[in-house]
Amino acid sequence: MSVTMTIAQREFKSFFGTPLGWMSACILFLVSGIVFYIEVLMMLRSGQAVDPMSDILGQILNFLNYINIFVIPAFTMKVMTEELSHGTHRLLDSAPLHPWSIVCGKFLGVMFYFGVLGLLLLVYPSYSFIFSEPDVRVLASGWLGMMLNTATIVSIGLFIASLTKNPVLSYLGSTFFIILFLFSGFIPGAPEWYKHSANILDMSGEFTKGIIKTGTIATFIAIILIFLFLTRFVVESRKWRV
Amino acid sequence: MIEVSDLTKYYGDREVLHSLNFSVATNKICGFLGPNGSGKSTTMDIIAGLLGPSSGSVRVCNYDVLTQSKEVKAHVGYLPDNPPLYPEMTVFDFVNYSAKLRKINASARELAVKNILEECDVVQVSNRLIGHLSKGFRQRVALSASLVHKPSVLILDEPTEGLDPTQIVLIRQLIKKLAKERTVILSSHILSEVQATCDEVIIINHGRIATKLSLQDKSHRSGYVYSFACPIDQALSWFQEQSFVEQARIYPAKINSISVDFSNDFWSKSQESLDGLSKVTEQIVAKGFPLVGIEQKKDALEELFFDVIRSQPNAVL
Repeated sequence: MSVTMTIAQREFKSFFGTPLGWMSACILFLVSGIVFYIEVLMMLRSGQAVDPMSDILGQILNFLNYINIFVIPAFTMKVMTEELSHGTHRLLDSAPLHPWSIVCGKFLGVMFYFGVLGLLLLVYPSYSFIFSEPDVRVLASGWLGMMLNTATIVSIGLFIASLTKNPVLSYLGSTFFIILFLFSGFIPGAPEWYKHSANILDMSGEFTKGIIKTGTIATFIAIILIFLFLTRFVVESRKWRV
Repeated sequence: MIEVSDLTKYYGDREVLHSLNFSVATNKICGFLGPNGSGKSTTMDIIAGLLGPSSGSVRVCNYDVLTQSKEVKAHVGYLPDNPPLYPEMTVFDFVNYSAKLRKINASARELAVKNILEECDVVQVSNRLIGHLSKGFRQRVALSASLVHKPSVLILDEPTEGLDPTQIVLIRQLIKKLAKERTVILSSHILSEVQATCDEVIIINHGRIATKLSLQDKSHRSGYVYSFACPIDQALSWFQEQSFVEQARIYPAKINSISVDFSNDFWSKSQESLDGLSKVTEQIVAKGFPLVGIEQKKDALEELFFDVIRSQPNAVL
């Protein structure tokens, strides 16, 4: 476990040692700031009663869930594909580590980064504590939904990124595969359970309304575990591939 | 320390290693010599546990690389040809990270990192970013990271590649120092590198061991070049007639010169001294041959290397 955390810590720090971490933070904050401004302005103009948590934060989180599809593959590309293309994976491969330590370390490294960003995004709902007594449970639920959505995209991205040494192919492949996965629920004839499970954006949308279903959490966790297991398999099989 | 038996490796249908057999004893420096694409790096990757063999067995410190991969990796320090470095990390952080990956406990880690930074002479740059260092320093940093867990086997894939002559000498000295306490395998296609550093050499070509030799063995001792003031047909005939001469031939790189390789018997009688050579010189002078100079050939291994490579099937030299 300590080695996993060591790898996660290094990956987390490395994002701030390169422009990727700062640029992505800027993009996410800029987008969420614009969405926040528009939402508040529209609601004030329409004179509606506003629930700061589900109406405003919910919109921001929903929007960020979409943005993540295009941002996260850049991170999974950095932690997996860049290591393969620069040969730095040999440092990990030559150490007496279990493939799970490597995969989980990289997964957690990316999650720590988005976890910190997620915490910083709480600046938006925090204003409402000045004027009202908002429902903290909805806030926590929305944050959990975003993190589960992020973790799912990270696990899918890690799997695709572990398959190639080409960074461009890794980014485009991950983004394409994630979108394909989302839309696979719309294939005619797909079973109902699959339609629901593949649409991770819809599932995380439920959380922003304060609805937490055990089945939804289980679905998220199952998808994450499946893709992490596939990544572990790819990492382990490197020993036997050209 | 390292035992390789019938090691074969396929990349798809292509056989890159063909039934390699060799062993390296404790505290020896073994050089892997061969042209690019001969299979040196693949062999090193397999010994370090990064690649799996298609067949055959490799044992390092009595552990099998296939079934006891973790134990092997714990005993091996590996420096690949492209050093695995993170340019955004400082030297200290990187070596410390490497120590953590090797599961060195927190109390011993700081001292281990400090010691290895001193041993590899990178203390003065320990707070600098790796991306800002020269290639020589980067190589030393990568070496520090591969040594931080005090491995008993050190594998170096072309450790002096791309370095300037001063850095090459420094790295060479460092390797010799490190080899006092551990077994070292290093690969290179720089012949003088191997000659200057190694105790024994394995020449590998097209995935096969072309030859194995010990550089301490007198039979591979450098020959001598005798230079004369005028054409030297008689001197050449005289050398060729002597029983203590294994081979004498015209030395094309220098005018009026003869390249002479002495027999093992000659060297064993000379007993490391230059007595034998002095006597030969006295005889040449007594014969009246106009001798103007004697020098030791520096390229004995180079000659051997090219002879071996040329004698292989599909030779292009």
